[in-house]
Amino acid sequence: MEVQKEESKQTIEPQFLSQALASGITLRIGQMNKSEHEGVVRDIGRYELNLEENGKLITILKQEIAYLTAPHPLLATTEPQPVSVQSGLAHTDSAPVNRPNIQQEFLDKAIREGQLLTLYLLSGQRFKAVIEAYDNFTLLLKEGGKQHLYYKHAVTTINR
Amino acid sequence: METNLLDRMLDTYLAGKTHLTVTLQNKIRVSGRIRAFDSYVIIMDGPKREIVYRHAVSSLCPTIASDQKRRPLSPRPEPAKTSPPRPPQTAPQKSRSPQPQPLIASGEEKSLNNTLKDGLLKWMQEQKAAK
Repeated sequence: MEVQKEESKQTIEPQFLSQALASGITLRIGQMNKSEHEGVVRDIGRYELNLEENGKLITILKQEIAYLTAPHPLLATTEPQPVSVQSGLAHTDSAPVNRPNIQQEFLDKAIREGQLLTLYLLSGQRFKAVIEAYDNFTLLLKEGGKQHLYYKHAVTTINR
Repeated sequence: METNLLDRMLDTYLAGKTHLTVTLQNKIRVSGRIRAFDSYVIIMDGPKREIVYRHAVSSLCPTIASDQKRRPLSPRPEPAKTSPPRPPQTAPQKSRSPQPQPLIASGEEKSLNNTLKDGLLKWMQEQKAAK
């Protein structure tokens, strides 16, 4: 079960992107420097992706992406997250021994309770949403019927 | 998931001699053709030869399509045949703000400057006269 959980932590972002690729949906991509792109995902690489915008193929590096927005939910988060409730002691995943994983606790609690979170980005932008899931690098958020994938590398703080 | 999509795209653009606009993290745009690249840098062949660190790159986008799209919008009296129109090199802010400047050819700009100067002189003389 531990292994499976770890797996699910890894796969939010790839799942989201491959769903977007498969459904040919128009994604809105916000970049770290506040510029935005809107287009259809054509290729997915490990560190970059190709977006077709107005007939042009643009290569965007993931490290420069702050968030991706899908007009409707792409991923159904059916995972019963409460599994990790009893993980007060089970936090010893791969982290150093006996060290609580604060981020995991915070996010798990927010998911369980459906808290409205406020994200502050490196670019200074603020964003309020409910968190649905997360993996090592991204947060899956829900807001106004849209689904957003925020890269943690773009986030400075998360407030409850 | 491809492990080196960026390399493949760079290869395509290098082989196709595609005119590219590389946007850097600080929104600066570098345009030109790729001359060479390795795993850390890209050498661009623009008006100047530039070496771009890949860790500073934000996005790549071929320029041709946007050029064709932009050309009918701005009726530039430029000798387009001899020198292919390039997007502004290091002043992306300027290009984005809707300024009438790009519409003015260099010659016209000079004459405009002169008329401005003349106007200013006239105005100064008028001010003096009023005193």
